[in-house]
Amino acid sequence: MGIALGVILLVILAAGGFFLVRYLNDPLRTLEPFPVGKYMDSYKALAGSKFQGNLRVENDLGWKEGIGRLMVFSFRDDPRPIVVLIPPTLAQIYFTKGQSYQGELEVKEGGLIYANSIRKN
Amino acid sequence: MQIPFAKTSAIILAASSFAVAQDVSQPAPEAAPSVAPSTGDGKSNSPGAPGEKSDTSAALDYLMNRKPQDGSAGKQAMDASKRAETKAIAEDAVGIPRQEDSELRARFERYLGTAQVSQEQLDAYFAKMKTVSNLLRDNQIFPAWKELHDLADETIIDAGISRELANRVESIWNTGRANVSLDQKNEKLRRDVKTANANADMMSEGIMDKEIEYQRRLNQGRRQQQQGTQNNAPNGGVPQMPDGGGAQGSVAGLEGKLQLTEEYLRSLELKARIKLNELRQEKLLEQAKADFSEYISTLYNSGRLNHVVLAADFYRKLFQEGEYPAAMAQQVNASLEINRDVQSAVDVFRYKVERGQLAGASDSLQNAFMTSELNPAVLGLERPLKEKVADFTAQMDQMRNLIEARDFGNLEALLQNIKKSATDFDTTKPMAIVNAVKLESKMRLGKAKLAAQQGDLKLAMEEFQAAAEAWPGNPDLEDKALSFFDTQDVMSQTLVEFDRLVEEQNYRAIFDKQLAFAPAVKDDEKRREALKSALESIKNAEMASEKANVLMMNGDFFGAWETIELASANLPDDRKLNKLRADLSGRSAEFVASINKARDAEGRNEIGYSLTWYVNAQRHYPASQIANEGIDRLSKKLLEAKM
Repeated sequence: MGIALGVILLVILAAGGFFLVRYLNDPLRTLEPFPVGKYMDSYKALAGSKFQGNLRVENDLGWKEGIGRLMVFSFRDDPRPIVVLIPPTLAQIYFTKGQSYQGELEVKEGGLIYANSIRKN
Repeated sequence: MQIPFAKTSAIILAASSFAVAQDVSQPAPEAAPSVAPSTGDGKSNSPGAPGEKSDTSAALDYLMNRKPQDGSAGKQAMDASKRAETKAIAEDAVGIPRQEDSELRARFERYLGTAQVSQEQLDAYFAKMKTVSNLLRDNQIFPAWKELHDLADETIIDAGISRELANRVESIWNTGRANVSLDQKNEKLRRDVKTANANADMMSEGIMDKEIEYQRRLNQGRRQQQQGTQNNAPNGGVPQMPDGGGAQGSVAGLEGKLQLTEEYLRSLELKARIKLNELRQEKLLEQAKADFSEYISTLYNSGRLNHVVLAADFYRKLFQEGEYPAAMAQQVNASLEINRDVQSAVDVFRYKVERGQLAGASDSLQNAFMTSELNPAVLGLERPLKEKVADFTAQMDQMRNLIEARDFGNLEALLQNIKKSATDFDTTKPMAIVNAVKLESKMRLGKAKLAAQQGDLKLAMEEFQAAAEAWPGNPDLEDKALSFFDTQDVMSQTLVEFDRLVEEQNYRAIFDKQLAFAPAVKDDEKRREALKSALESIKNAEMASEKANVLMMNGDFFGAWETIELASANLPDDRKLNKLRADLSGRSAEFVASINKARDAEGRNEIGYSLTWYVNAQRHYPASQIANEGIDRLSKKLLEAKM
């Protein structure tokens, strides 16, 4: 009984440690969620900033080798779609409409949102 | 063929004068048509200097191709010629020649208006005239002369001519009395001649006795001298004068001879005076005859034909001649013939009036009157009959005036009236002229209309003027001219308005007035294209409006707005579209805001931001043409720009 409880506790501690380490190692942990409303009002205040966002695939606007893929995502908490350029380094990801992704987003010149990194949720 | 230099010069001079008569402000045409054949190298074969050729050509061009300008001498001459031509046409159309002598015409018109001389008066007058003739036939000259004074009392018919004839007869008698006086003088002269001859005879006997005595004494003296010589008288042989009365006898003989000569000369002088008197008598007689003949000629020429016959009878009796002089005989015969002709003409007149043939009747009466207005048949013509001719003549004058004035509308009505009253009046010619001129005027009007439709305003105006000159009263003229001028005015205003609306891009106004603009711009390709473009734009706008209305009815306000928005791109200032767009904007605010923000950002070259807004717009209205095109356009731009 005691052993069993100890094993269980150990597993719990291991899992908790795992998740803690993982949490602590997450680069998006320190980033602010992407402010869709502010962006839609005026992107200029957000230009150069990086955000993290939980994205839902809405549409694929096109792909160009060496440039990347233009994707339309929507946010979980805001249905308004935004256009994000996925760089060629992340081109191996196959986006399907309705899939959810989490990524680091950076607002660049001209209001173009650039995905520095993205991973499937 | 050689052209005489003088004629050529005259033509050129006349042409130059004509050209000078033109408006001086009108320059002579520089390039006049040349009739000289070209050699093919551009040079004319015409002889002479180039300047000379140019002058001649210009003059010929003026003569052949130019119309005289208003106010110029040439124009006045042309107008005068036209008036004369119109007058000639009118005369030709009427067909009944007008009496050219205005005095005669006035007399005839006066005659037509005067009352007839009663038949009783005429009978009485000509009975007296017959009496005069009978008296003359019976050699009763003095009673006939007295009767002339009675004739003269009938002043209406006679007008005092008989009294004048009586005076002439009296004048002949006075000439006869002068002859009697000369006869008496000649008788006395003849007696004087006899006396002178008797005196001369007596003197001649005395002289002869004295001469015999003188010879006897002379012979006696000679015998005594011969005896003395034989006595040797100491006188040296000189002959001695006879003694006694030798010298005395010689002087007395000379005196007697002079007296005889004087008597002889007196006798010759008296005979000469007698001869002179006889010549004077002869001259007076011849003069009287000549004067009387001349008077008869005057009567003949003035139409007093009955008096011609009467005066000729007096002539024959007064001068005791068996026959008339040849000229007088002709006048008498002609008078009798004319009287008969006039009587016939009046009979014909009566007959034609009775049949309603006033044209012929008028002609007959006019001829009768002009031939012998004092003929009893002419004088006794009833006034109502003459009034018919007066009315007909007035209608003819009116017809002439209407033709000259080219008032063919009233002329037709007049011709109908004339035809009713004068059945023999031939209306063919005037009607032909009326119809020809009407046709010409109508054709000119048609030509003017065509020219106006083709935009040739100059030709149109010329044809309008020609149509008006041909038939000023043409009822179509005023309407067509007014509509033409109104059209021209409206057309001009329409074009100005059209240009303004095109400049303002107010295609809606152009569309609304397309029926007015279409005829005005049809000959102007540039304007026609502008109209076409404007109508195309409005047509698209209208289709867009219709489509928008259908979409609205289906609740598709975004689609309706977008339809109007797209149509507005071609008609940004169209009120109808703008109003509709404004209405729809309120009902499609989110979509419209997205599109507007996307456009604004695109305008600022904020491609990513703009694309996001297009995507948002598409989220509102997935079928949006603007959004889809924007997305497509900007996506390509983004992907290509990064290369």
